[in-house]
Amino acid sequence: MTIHSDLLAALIFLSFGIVAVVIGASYGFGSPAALGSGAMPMLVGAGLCAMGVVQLVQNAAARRAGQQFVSAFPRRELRPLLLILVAVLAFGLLIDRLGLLPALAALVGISWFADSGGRKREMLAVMVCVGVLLVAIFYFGLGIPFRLVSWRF
Amino acid sequence: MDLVSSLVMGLQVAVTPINLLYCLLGVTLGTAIGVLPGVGPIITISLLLPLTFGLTPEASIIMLAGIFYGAAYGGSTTSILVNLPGEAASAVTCIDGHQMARQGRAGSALAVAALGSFFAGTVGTLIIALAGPPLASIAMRFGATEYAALVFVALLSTAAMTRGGVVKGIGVALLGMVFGTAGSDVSTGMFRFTFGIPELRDGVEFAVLAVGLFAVAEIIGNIGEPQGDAVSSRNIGRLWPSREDFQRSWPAVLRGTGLGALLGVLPGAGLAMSSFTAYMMEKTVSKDPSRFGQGAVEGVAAPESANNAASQTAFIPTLLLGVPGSPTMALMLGAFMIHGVQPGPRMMGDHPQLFWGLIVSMWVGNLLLVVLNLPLIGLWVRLLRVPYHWLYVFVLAFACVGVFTLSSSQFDIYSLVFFGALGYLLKAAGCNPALFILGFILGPMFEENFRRAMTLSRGDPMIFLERPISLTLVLIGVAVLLATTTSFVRRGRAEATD
Repeated sequence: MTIHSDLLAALIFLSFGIVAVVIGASYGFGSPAALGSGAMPMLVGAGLCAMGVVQLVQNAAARRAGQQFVSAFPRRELRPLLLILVAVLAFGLLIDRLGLLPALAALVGISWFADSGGRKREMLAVMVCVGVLLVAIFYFGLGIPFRLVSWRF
Repeated sequence: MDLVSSLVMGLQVAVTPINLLYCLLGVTLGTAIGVLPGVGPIITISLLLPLTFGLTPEASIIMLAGIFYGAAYGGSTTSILVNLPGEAASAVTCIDGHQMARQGRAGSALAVAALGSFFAGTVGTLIIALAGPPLASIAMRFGATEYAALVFVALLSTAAMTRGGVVKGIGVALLGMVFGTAGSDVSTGMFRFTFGIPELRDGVEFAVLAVGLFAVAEIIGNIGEPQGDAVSSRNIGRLWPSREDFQRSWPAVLRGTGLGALLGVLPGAGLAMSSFTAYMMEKTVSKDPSRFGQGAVEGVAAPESANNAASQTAFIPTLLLGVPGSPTMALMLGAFMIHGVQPGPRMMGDHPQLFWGLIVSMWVGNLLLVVLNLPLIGLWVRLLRVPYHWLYVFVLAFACVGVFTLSSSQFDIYSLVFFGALGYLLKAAGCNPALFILGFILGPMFEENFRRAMTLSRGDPMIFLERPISLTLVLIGVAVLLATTTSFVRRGRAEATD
């Protein structure tokens, strides 16, 4: 079974809706005249679940009508998805420990390979450009006290 | 206070050298980032948001206004030159604007777009200044019930109007509302959805959410997509429009401005609607409709002025009621609130300097665009030639550093990863993440007023139908919902988006 975009939408709505209702219930609904902290999460969560169900019904109708579905996740998007997210994560892990410049180098070094066809020598040039530009804008321009390079573990 | 003295006060705030400098900086940066292919105004504003944080409220809001206009103008430039619209609102400009560029009349198209926008912006500013005080006094009479109903209508009609279907639209707005409830509950102080993470006690950081949902998710989606052709970006032609272009475009600018100013006020109708409608109207009133699609200058002038007039009058609900009518406005509202400015009917009375300063600086930003950016067009065109591979790496680095400067917290960067992934999922599911922002901003506002209204009515939900203003608003919401689900509007919209 392929996860097509309409099914994905239904799944997102249902899963977040259920989480909102269940966790919201633990905050207490209160009474209509004095709605508690859990009332809004539960009502909105219920609405989300309803949209998820309606979407599922529409999907079933479309399937019966013989509509062909394509996967919501084309294979060529997998590489950018993973590498871009890992690049941001690496930046977050390194910025406090090694400082701005090493974190940026990691970010550029990983995200460069998210798209195919980039040359390694070009990557070094981009690394230098990004470092110079961002240090110029944020460190000198805005005067934000970054540690450019540091050793803290 | 009368109109003139208010505008003079605004002028005094906006035209101090330092504020003028920030406005200029905002316009320039907004254009520079907004012109990059595939980077629409929403991404531009969320990327540049962190830059304004260290400034005084006046300066930061003025800079934001500059960014807002610069981003919109940069987006039109990209549509005309590369046929790559950054957002729905500039998709129409592509049709004739890009044809003009192919015929070597890109300079003329850009100049008409800028001058038309400036005229529309001036009219829009005057409308806000004129309509502001009387509307604010009406808005002062709004109680919790009316506010809850208004927010409900704004959310519902925007969700119903967007592409991708009503169910997905409402669903994704509700999802944004769920995220909006995270943090401490204003009425009881209880922590909700914080999962024991101290950083979440103040709720989800708005700027992080915006950058993750738009910039990061957009980059992931754009890599591997075939890029638009840059053929026509080489020859811009002469900048000043010919006499014929002038004569053809000024009536179009007038019509577009009127239409845009009207539609901009309506929540949900928004910018895209105004430029589509303006284009359709030009085609209808034209003596020779076959010229459209072949590089008709009216096809650029009308939607661009409508778009700009609408984006100006869209500030009316945003500033006077605190209820944004479009996702871009929600972003601006979120930015204002970060700076401790709470738009609403009281803003004009409590912070007159800020209110009028903003109104006037909107206009000044527009003026700076025409005076400074038009001659610099060659520079912006050069930016278009930066390969996407370089571009996305730079945008990503800019996003990460910008987010980190917010509170120097690693948690913000991890949230960025989360919202990047969520934004990608939403796009894959065919949901418009811009509606998520709207739900996120409007959700807490709705909750507060809804709970207060229910307490006032002692738990009787019929109060929303008993009060006349609130009943009218609820009826409008239902009517919009019904209208968009009927086949007529759906067909018209499908035609417009094709």
